Amino acid sequence: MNKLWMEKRNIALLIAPGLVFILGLILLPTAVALYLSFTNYDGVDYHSVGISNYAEIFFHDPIFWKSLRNAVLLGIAFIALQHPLAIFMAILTTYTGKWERPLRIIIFIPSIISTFVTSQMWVSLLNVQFGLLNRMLTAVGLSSWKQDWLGNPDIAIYSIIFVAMWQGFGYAYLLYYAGIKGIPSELYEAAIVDGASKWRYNKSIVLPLLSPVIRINFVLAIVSGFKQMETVFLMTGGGPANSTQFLGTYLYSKAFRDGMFGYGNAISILFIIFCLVVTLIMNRLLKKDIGEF
Amino acid sequence: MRKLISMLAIIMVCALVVSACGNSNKNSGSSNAGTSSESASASPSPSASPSGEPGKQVEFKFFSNNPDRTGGQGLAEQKLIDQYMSENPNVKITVETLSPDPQFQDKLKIYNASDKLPDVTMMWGQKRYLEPLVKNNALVAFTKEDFAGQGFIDAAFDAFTMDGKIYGIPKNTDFLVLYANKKLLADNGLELPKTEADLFKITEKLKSAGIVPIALDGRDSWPLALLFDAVVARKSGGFDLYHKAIDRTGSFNNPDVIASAKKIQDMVKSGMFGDGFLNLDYGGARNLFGQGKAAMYLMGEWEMGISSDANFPEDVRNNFIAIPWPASDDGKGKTTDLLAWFGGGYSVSAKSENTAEAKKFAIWLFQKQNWAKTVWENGITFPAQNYDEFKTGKETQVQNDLTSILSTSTVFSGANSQDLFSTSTAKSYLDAITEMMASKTTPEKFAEKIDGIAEKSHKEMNP
Repeated sequence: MNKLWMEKRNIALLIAPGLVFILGLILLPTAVALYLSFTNYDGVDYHSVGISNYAEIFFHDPIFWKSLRNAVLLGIAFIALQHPLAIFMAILTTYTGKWERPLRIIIFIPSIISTFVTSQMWVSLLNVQFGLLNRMLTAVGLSSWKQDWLGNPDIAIYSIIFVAMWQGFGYAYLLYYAGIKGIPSELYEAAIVDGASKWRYNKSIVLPLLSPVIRINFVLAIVSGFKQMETVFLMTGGGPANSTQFLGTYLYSKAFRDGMFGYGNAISILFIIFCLVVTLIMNRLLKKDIGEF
Repeated sequence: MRKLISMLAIIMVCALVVSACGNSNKNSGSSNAGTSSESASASPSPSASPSGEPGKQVEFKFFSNNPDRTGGQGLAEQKLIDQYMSENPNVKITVETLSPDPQFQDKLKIYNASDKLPDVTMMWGQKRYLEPLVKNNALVAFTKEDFAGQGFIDAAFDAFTMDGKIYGIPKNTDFLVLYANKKLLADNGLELPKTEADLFKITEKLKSAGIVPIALDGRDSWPLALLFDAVVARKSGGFDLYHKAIDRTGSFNNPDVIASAKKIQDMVKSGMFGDGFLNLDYGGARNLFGQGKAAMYLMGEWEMGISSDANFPEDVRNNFIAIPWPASDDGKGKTTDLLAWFGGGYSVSAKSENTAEAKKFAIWLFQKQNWAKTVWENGITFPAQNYDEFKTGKETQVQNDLTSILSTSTVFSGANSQDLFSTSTAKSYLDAITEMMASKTTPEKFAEKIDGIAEKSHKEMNP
């Protein structure tokens, strides 16, 4: 039996379907996209235009750079706001005794509801005339704080970032929570015997042991900031006046609304490159061996 | 023995995987992309009827953007197709539908590239859709005599005419109006606006009452461009300005454009469209008005159906009227200048063996007792033909208002500005208007910017 699995021919045979899958559905389309990004493909025919699509993006397309800036902004918001809070909540819930289970469920609920539903819910909550938020502000006498949350080009992006953080919070929390639960209880007992406070235990033992989880979560956060599409698409569609455009929504509108597939492909190629580079940098920055436990 | 069984198992798995792949390929090959669907209509089958009929058996395809065949324009199409087939048993018409419009337009491009254009197809009277087909000699040319006596509005053919030849038959008359809730205005001691200055007065009064003066769909941005056209037309006293700016015999960088942009920014600042209209979508704006939270609603004639929409309170429906966009304060822009265009129609393929039969059908379709009568009597839309003789006397108030707006107009715009731009610049133009309305740019910079876009569009369309 063992010998059967060792034979190279058999191994090749077994990984072939997966390999064909990756080749056919990821690498090949990427190669086609790369090729088309050098053309003016409009859905029917095309001819080569050299690097003019890229030149246009780099030198004459402020909306592309705005999309990129929004994506980076979202990634930073994830890392600077969402994740510290998620780690804090994850540590806190382990001390809540019988409330641990229900809390865990409540925190995770937003992540299991379809993005479509939660996005529409937030659109209603943030509606300028009939939204709950503005009504509540009026009710407590703060009507001067009322805002056009999604219709004001200066504010809309922050509303989007807030909602995206809210939607992703459950997953971030769950990963940290699982990480904390995976720390052997001996460490806790040993620390307590040595006279460590809970604060000290969490700071000097839990956080360092959590760092592989934090690392992977940070990478995921940055990449999901780049990939953000559906929440924006459903809440503002990239508007008003392109103020909430993200790479995904911009790429979609260029390719499928304006029929400029060549240009859209050029954006998608840059999109892939940015994601790869960011992942590489993040991995380098956060590389630190923490040893076995 | 065990080794043999394992090997067999692997082979089985592989066979399964491979066969599953092969199968799915075959399926995807035979099914249509997107939401496209083909359906033969239930009517006398010509192949079953005896061959005693004169004329050979013909079968051709009708490509429509109305998937709903039981209501709206889809119903009108289907009724007439069925009628034609029962009158001509040797003809069988298959219907293919695809929605929404951008997908339809994409498929049309693909059909054109592969020379397989359906015999009769929905068409838009815009250069960017029509030109590639005409260049490819894919469309049959009609003459005005084909439709003599059918009551067509003369200008309706303009959008479908290239180099003096008519490549499509216009089906609707679209025009921009201001719907109003008569009672809501009267309750606040207000009269219908006659000039743009009246709009500002109404705004002031209604704002303190917590009512949105004009519901406007700002998220889709095309209604904003229609508003821009209307205001520019009033300011400059006609529609020449943008027509000339787009064909580059004139310019958008013009004092009238700057003044209009400034006026629109003032309208926004005064709260004429309510807070948050830039993120209000089509249904949202329609609801705001329909539920009596807005006094007026800026939209095309096709929203006349609100008067019979059971989702809205009777109070609103009974007080639902339509008025033209108000005149300019100095009287230069009159209410009889109407922003009207003929957006949709049908074309016939020139590259099919049934071209002659399909052309015959298309001409029959637009005999006035067919298309014009059907759409008017069913309250579906405004035909591009005279429909006076089909009036039933049971028209709603708003249907009558719209009729009088249309019939008293002396100047028609032809196209609206956004339709005249090339595919890739149309979006930039709409974005620029949204930016201007969000006060992210000054009127002067806005005028400069859209003039640049018009220049780019002109270059793309006339290489």
